[in-house]
Amino acid sequence: MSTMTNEPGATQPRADRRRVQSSSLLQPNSRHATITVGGLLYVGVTLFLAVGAVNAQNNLLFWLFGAAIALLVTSGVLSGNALMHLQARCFRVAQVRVGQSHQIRYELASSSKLFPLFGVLVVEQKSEDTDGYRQSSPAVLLHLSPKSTGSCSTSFEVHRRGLHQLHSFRAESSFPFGFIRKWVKFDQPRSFVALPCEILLKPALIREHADSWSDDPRPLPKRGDGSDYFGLRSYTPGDPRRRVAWKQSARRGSLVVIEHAEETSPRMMIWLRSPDPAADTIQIERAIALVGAVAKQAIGLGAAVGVWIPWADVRITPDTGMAQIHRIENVLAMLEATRSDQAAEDSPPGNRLGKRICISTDSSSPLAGAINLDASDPSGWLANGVDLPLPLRTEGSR
Amino acid sequence: MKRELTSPIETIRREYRRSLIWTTLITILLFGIADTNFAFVSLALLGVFVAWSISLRNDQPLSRLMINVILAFVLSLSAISLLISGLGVSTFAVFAGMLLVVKLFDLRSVRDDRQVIVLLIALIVAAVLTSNSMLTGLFLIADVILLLRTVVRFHIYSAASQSGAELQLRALPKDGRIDLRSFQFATIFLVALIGTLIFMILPRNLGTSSFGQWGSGSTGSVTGFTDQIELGRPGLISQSPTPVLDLEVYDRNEKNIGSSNSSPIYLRGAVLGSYKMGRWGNQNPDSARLPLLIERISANEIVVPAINPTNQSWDREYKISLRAAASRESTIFMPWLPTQFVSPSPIRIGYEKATGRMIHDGTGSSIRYSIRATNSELLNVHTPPGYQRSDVDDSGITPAITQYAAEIIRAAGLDPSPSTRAPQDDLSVMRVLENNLHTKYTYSLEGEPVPPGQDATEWFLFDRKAGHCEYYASSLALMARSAGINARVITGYVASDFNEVTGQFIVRESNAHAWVEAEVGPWKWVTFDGTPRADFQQLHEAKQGFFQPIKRWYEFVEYAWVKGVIGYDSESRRNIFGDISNDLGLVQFGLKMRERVRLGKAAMMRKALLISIVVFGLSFVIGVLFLRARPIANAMLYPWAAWLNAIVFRFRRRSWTPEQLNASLLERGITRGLARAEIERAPWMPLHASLMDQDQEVQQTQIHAALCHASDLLYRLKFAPPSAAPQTGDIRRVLALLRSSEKL
Repeated sequence: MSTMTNEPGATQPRADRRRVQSSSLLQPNSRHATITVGGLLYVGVTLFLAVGAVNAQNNLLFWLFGAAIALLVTSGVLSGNALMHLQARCFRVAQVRVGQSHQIRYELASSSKLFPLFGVLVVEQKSEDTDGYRQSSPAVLLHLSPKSTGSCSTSFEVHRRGLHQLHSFRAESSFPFGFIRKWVKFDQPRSFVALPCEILLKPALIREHADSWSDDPRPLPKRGDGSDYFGLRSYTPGDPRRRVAWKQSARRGSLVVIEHAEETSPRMMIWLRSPDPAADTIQIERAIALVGAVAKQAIGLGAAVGVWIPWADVRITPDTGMAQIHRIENVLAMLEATRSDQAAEDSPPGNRLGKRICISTDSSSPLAGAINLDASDPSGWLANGVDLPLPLRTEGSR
Repeated sequence: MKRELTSPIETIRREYRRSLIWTTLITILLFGIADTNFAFVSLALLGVFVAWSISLRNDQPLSRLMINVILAFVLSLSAISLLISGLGVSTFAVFAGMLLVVKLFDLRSVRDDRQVIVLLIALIVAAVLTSNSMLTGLFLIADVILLLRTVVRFHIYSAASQSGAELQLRALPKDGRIDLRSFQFATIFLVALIGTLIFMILPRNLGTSSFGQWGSGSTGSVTGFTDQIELGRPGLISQSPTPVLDLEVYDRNEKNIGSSNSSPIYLRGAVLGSYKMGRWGNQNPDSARLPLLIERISANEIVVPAINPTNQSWDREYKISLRAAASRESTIFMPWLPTQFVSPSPIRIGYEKATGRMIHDGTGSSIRYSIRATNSELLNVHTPPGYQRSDVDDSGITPAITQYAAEIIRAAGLDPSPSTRAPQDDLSVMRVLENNLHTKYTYSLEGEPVPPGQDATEWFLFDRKAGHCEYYASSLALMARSAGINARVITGYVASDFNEVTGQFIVRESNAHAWVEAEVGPWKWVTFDGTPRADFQQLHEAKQGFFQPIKRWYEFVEYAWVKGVIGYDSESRRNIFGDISNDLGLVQFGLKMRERVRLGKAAMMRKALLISIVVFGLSFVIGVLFLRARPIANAMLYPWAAWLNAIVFRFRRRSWTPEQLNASLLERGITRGLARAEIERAPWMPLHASLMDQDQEVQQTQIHAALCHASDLLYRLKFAPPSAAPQTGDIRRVLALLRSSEKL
């Protein structure tokens, strides 16, 4: 699950324009300007006008030269002033997954009393640790009235899983004439975790291998000592007091107790084998993504799934539910893809932890009695007619 | 009620492109007016119209192949033009203009739009380099304003186009549009203010011609005047009404004595004394370009430009403003006999006392100067005893011309032989010869080549007997010389078009003329003009007509432009700011203002302040009216639309019926009402249902009620039987209600 630290606000604005009132907006910490190619051309034309006016004493050229200088001054004063009074912040990113497009949203506020801003572009500042992050285009805010707030958004992609850090972003504008590109920088350190790529597996991948499973993926529940809710029954003396459903009892006028269902979910353990030394990074990433996808599918089918990656010191006991999926994906997102020398290469205990699914980067040594999935051969697990996500493709593969 | 849904970026692009087209049209007109190149203007405007119709409006650029074909055609045309005319501002600008039109068919990316703007700027600069007339100036101001608007919109479009996903972009809201308009007004106001201040403060007459001969608005323009004559080839013949100079005539008491009834004033330019085979040139080839005496004179210094043997005092002062002098060596026009030359600003002049020819060297743009002259025509010719005529250059005088002149003189009872004729009769001889040309020859501007090997003057006198002023002047000069009278041909302008509004003569290119000066006494040069009087009047005197008063007022404004803007020079600057020192003269400007107040000129300054307030107030009112123009136009929409529709309906079968018109007006009113109320209509819902779906707060507003009423009328109009159709009065009332309702 992605997280964003140092986030200035929790709620997103409903309307784009409203009075500036939030104190959580950031002040710019530096201001920069650079002349554009168009600006250089303009300066050249202005000099040409000056030379022509002086040379020929042509008064229309003198006026045009005056107007050209006036434009430069006006451009600097009007747009520079508005940009200096800009405040901004970046909203949290909802969920980030490698290979998918996500939205990032910024809020800008102008404290200028007079000057509006037009055509503001917001881009993330690049740094060494933002290599896996790519903003497809700048976020564009076409107009920001004086003393008002606006928001803009853009999409971005990440190319590697794990922790990503963003330090600062900048708001820039070359309005009104494009001579000078001015920008102000806002320092807002943020971090988020990018989950592994999402792979679409064959719908029956787990079921066709799991011969012990019945056709019905969710057998009828039986009364038992599990954690899931089964039903209500009348209180009988001897029932533990903590099982009494007080609200329902009050509603009915007689005491009722909650009964739990028997734990019926099949248990599975996904074993990500130590990567082959010859396997390239894409193969490893594919295997990691495959673990996540298999876990998701299995949990979706009602299984309690655990993950066994001893070489990375990861041992997640089987469980069901969305929380387990998130737990597994987060662990996979932060997984170091390099094999530790000290790490044991032992397989998970099959009987105790359930059916074993063995995922490896090659097919050299399949595990007997387990479902073996070879990450290097997508035809064995990838859904028909679906391409692998771009970051998991090798040359020649779809 | 079908309405095409457009994406925000498409709306922004459409608005920018509309602005671009207007700027392009005005820029092309600007250059066309400056260069008087109407062929270019017609072709370019047609190109812009076609580009808008087939490419820009639908955002469908032409195919690359088509663009390349057109580009090849344009390049070929430009290459031909370059070979014919050579490289010049005009050639370059025409090429840029054609490229601009081609580029309008090929707008595929923001980069293409940027290139179009660069081409527009190139055309504007080229126009200013070509001409500095008032029309050019007015179009320039309009064009700069439009260009600012276009560039501002371009940058919004450019920013919008950088947004990756269009859905993330919101169109410019209503308050954004208001901000943008205010921003544009503020920018235009600041640019006009700062630009004008810089224009006024910048020193003049420094570094003139440091970078060669270019940049003058008059460079390359035709003035009609020429300093040499080649008979049989086009010379002075220019029928352009473009003003060349302004002339005011004062007596010694500084009273303006110009009037529309006064006789024409001959303003001498070149003095041509040598003749050979139809070609008149300068008598002294060495001084053809620059006369002998060259000096730099200071402001208001008096120079005597011509020999004045009898020390005649001046009786008239001619104040001349040359509107478009060439950037180097421009002729100073003056009447005969000049006794004093005065310039209000320091300039470099050259002059030849023997001929009274004068040039100005250096500055381009406009020149102002005063000539104080004595009217030699009014003086009696006095020949002292023993006076010997000057030697006559007999080159070009053929026996036929001599014999012909002798016959005319003899027929008038005068002696054709100079040796036996008294010098006092020379004036009469000249009048006889002049009169002969007036009566026996026809004025014609039609050019006809002189037969090879034949002298052009002889051909005019004996064969064709028709021609323009150059032929008349040449014939008169040669006949005078054949009779022993020293004569020379003068080229210049004739001032006869007097403007009562400004109290000045306006001399145009079409007033270029050639005449003769003959020495009929000791250093007594008198002007003679062989051109027939009737033709002369037809050519040079102002034509009266219905538009004459309007034309006079236009000329008055134009004169103010020339005097205030084009003629703004170091002297004008000194008058306002003083010398160039201490804050570019601003300190001195303040001190001068204080001094004026101290000297009791406070009333004048109060008046100036009052005028400024009135002008500012008027500008403000006009600005507010401009901003409010759309609502006013909307209020007037119905009667006009109904009236226009009635006319169209009368003449065209496929026009709207009144029901269709009412439906259209209602749809338009509802669309605007929805926008004003900021109600977003769900496209899948009927209008009325969509209105009913709004919040309770919205439903309680006046505009919502008006919208509901309007939608009800619209549905009735479209679907109800004719008996239940709403009345026009109801529709007008609801439209008025929609306009007057306050927004949410």
